[in-house]
Amino acid sequence: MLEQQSHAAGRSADFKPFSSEYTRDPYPALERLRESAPLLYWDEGRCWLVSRYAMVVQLLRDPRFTTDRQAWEFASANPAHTQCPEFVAMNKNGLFSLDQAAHTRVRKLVSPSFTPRATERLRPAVQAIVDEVLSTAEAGETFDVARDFADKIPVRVIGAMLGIPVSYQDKFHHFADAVIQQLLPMLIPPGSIEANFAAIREGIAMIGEIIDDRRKNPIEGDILTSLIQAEELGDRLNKDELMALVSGLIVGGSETTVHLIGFMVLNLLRRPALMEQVKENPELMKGVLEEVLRFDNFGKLGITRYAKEDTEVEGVPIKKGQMMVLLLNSAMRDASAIDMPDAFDPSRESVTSIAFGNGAHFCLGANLARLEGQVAVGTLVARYPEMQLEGEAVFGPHPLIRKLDSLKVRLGPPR
Amino acid sequence: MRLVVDWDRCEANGVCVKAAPEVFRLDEAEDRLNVLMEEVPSELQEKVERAVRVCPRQALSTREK
Repeated sequence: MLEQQSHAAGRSADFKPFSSEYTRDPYPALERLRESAPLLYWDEGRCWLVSRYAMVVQLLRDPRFTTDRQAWEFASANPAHTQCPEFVAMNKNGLFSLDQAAHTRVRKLVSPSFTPRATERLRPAVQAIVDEVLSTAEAGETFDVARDFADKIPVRVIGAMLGIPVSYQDKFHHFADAVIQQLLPMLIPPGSIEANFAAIREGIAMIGEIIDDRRKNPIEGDILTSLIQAEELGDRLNKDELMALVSGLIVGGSETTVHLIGFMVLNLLRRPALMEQVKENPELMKGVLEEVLRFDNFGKLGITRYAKEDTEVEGVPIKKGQMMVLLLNSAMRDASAIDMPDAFDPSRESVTSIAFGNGAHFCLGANLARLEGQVAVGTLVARYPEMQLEGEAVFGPHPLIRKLDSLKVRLGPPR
Repeated sequence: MRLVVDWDRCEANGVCVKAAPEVFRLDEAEDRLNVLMEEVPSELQEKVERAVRVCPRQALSTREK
């Protein structure tokens, strides 16, 4: 037993998701976890790491675990409680924290706007945004896919969906980035905590302003207006839930899809033969998108669950309040669940994808993210078919995301 | 085998339609799922079990009659 524990402790110390090596290619380290320690307590992150597909899916569906971060054993130790109580209060009313009945009630207010069919109706609007962002690119010159393209699209799409002016896009980014860092608050460097809270406070104030303004100036057929009306009627949405929901839409819509777009372009440019296939058959882009999420996921770690009670998972005792980090990236490379997992194959069936989670908290924006990725990268490839990588992709520091700081390409002549 | 849909969960993603088109259909006008049969004949059980597994919202389940 002792020997086992020290062995595990050694493995925990070996897991270094903030190294540049891991950021470039986390998959060898994840494979080691799957093989030698599929359920490992990671001391530095103060959480359990779950790396195999079957256990990840089991925990996504397991009622003994919750998405409510208030249930985390270290929740009250987060300085947000004293320094940013408005954020703690907002989270309590968010979709990850509401009890089952409230979650169902609130989610149903917005889910009809995110079905495959409803998001498909946004295609012309997404196309117009992509065209406009791309029109600032000069043919023949170096173009940074991360900064000049990927970064600019999702924030404008969610802004357009909520009827919020383009001038808010930097504020959205700033807020979303700060909130995402709070998912694993112990990873925020102490010197950055106050700046993080300041960004969150500004974002919460911004959401309040946006809601007040729309309350005074309702728009026919608009999602935000319909949510405000639901709140005013009082029985389906309260004021705190409205704030949290709008925050969730802005955060969810502004950040993650940025990285999906960047990783799609990177993976295509690294595979010239695949790029040729996509040019000949643009429909293949759907499979490329799914395969980028599965094969080269932009997440460093994964999504979190918290034990509601003392329990055990496959014989390993888990204490009430402990955090489980479900390594979706690792799970989707697990050979015991995925056929030939280390082959990039856009023609594989994607119905087993867990890239957007699974169950009650399945990503509300999954269909929107898919639409944005297809339109953005499809348009870029169609317009600049001779696009080439210019140097290496540059990854920046980020606690949770393999963040592409820069992805320079030579666009070549436009078509 | 009897098919059970949790309508609080279903968000018309339509993944089940791909898995078992004989049993599930999307109502395009209403943008919601239609279930064509609740009693699943034995020849469709495997497909329905697959639909249950792949539903991204875990909205489907089956029970014995």
